Amino acid sequence: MEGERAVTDVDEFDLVARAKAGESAALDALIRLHQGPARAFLAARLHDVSMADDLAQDAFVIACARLDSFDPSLPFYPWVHGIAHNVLRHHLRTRRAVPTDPHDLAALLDQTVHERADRLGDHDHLDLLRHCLEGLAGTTAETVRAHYFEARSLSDIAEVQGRSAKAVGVMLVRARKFLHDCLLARIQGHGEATA
Amino acid sequence: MSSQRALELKALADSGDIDDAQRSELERLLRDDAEARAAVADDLLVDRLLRYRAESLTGDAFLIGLQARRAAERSSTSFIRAVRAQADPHHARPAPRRFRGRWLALAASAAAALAVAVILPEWSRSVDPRSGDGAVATTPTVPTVPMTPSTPTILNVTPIAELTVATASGTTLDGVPLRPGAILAADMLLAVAEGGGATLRFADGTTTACSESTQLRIERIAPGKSLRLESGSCACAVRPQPAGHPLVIRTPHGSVTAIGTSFTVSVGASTRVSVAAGVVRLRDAIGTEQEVAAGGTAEIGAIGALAPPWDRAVVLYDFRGGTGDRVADQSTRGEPLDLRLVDVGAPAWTAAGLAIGMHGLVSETPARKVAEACCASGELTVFASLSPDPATLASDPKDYPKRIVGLTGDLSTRSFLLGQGNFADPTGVFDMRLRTSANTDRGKPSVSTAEAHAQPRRLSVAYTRDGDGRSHFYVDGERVDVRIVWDDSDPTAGRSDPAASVTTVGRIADWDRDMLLTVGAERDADAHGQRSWIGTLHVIAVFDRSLTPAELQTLHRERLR
Repeated sequence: MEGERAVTDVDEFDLVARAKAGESAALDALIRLHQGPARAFLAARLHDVSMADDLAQDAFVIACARLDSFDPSLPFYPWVHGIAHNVLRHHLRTRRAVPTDPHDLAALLDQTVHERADRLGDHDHLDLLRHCLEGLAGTTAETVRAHYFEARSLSDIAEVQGRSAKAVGVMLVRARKFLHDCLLARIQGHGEATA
Repeated sequence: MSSQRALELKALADSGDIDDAQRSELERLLRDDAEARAAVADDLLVDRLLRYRAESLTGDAFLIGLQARRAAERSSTSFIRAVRAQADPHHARPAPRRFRGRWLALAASAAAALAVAVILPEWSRSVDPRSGDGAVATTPTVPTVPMTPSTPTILNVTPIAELTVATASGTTLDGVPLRPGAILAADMLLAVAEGGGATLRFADGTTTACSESTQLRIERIAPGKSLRLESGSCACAVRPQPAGHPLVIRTPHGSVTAIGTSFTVSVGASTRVSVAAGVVRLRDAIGTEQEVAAGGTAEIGAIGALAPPWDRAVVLYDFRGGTGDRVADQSTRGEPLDLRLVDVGAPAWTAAGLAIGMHGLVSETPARKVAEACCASGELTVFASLSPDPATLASDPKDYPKRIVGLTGDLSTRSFLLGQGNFADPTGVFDMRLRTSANTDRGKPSVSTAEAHAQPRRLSVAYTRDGDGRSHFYVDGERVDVRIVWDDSDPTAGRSDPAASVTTVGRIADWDRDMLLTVGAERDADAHGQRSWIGTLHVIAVFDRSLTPAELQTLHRERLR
């Protein structure tokens, strides 16, 4: 996913035209180009990783099936993003078909996560996150790597590091705060750069 | 301040070290304080992105799964819908598509459980993240509704289907027509008829897309996934698997083990594996293992052993047990390019190979198929199994490199030349001169082994160059350090430092289609006796792609037989 948006608009229009003409390689290239932000959009709004991948694939399956209706003079990603948004909305509506408590705290918090994700705008957050992760250092970086990328529990990490699980929890919260601030900074920088 | 306090309390909740009073305080903050709620939401947001980054499908696996779904949906649509409308007891439900198993699981849950389903999984994961054996968290850490460890939640009471059918056409399960949405169990036999197809989906998102004429038995679903592919072909997009519980696909010839990757397994007379992303481990019937990385292919032969990729050679010569003055090209690609012996008295054939000295072999016709194949791919592998004679090692140091195999025009023009010796080490190194768009007609600068590996014993040497120009040497199947030799008139100033890999700049292009393949000596009769390689040849092969280390190991093992 990383770095796959680095093509010019001219390239994209050409890809769209070729994809509409039935060239599968061009369609694959379009998907490669835009899967990053589309998957990031869904990943931020769903706690289930595999569901996020499923819905992202759904969005692209629909986009491929309806490619004939796409206006090639328009940018491609906003169209895909709209499809992904609708797929997500449909999924959430279906999931919540069973009545839930309107005062439920989990629902309230999830709604807030969605609002905060909207605030981050439409970027390839996963790629930005990769850069931000490089800003972590020392024990913090090791802890993030162990917890997320090596599937180690807080208690396991605490035992290895000779500290309490609570201290590890605090360290991870601080690391996520750093990453969030870094994401915001990069997004603002991105906005200035493209303004 | 409230946001900081909320994050402190969340850290306690994550570590499972929160007491009732702190839990109540956190719940109050989240419910009543927008600032605190936003801070915790930002934390959860980054947590989701981190988990997605760690656990989601790779870009290639995502595309492979997408392509499989598109293909399956194209081939199944109307028929499946008609059958589903008539026979599927769930047909009235709102379009669950491939999420049928998940949707059913959710529908079966209690409403109270659903109320906490949104947030509980990610928080309870922080307490007991991905335990690796499918175990679930039972200690609630979320200040939502009052819960005890016995409170039913979506995590610990829902009978999630571990393996479901995402798409199916022309497919039967134990003889019964298979419908999308079906829940599968161990010991079932899936049979895909000609023209059909089926995609299976595990609860963790791992998918297996089986093509027509496939027979697949589900041996085990959890813990650890085990499938037996009797025939046909399946493309797998495998999510990262728990430690100690990889996905294993067994075939009549061996097994393929994946931790988290995308690959295709095809079973016919042998088992072929093509890896799109990640790494898989192959094990044949006699226990030989090899790993195959992204972009690589491997084969487990009918006799069980991992099969070397001989069938992909552009030219292949086996000198063992030969007779006469000709050596047949045993490759299966294009017209055979046979060799004939020149300037030979009595050929010294033995069971081990052909001993050559002041003479060599040359192709009977131009090696057009070699030039065209390598120019098209931009890649090259030259493999030789041989036994250098001590006479080679002691011969005139000015006559280097000794010619092993090359695609040559005359003494000074060539497309490639694998030789023994150069100015820096006249006898013991192996050297490759390769003509590219940046190198000279002589193929300089050359790439040589950094150490003297040529010894008077039976050994194998291979040179590979991939599409990006990366060049490697392998001796006895093991990669060895290499260096670039820019100026062979200066033994010290014109060499790079030893490295595991060097880049040969330029493209393989415009090779002369009329050059001949020469072995053991130059084609020019005047050159015979000069730069001749002395020793015994066992096997020589040229490939139009850069073979993987695993493939080269199989070639090396094969030449010992």
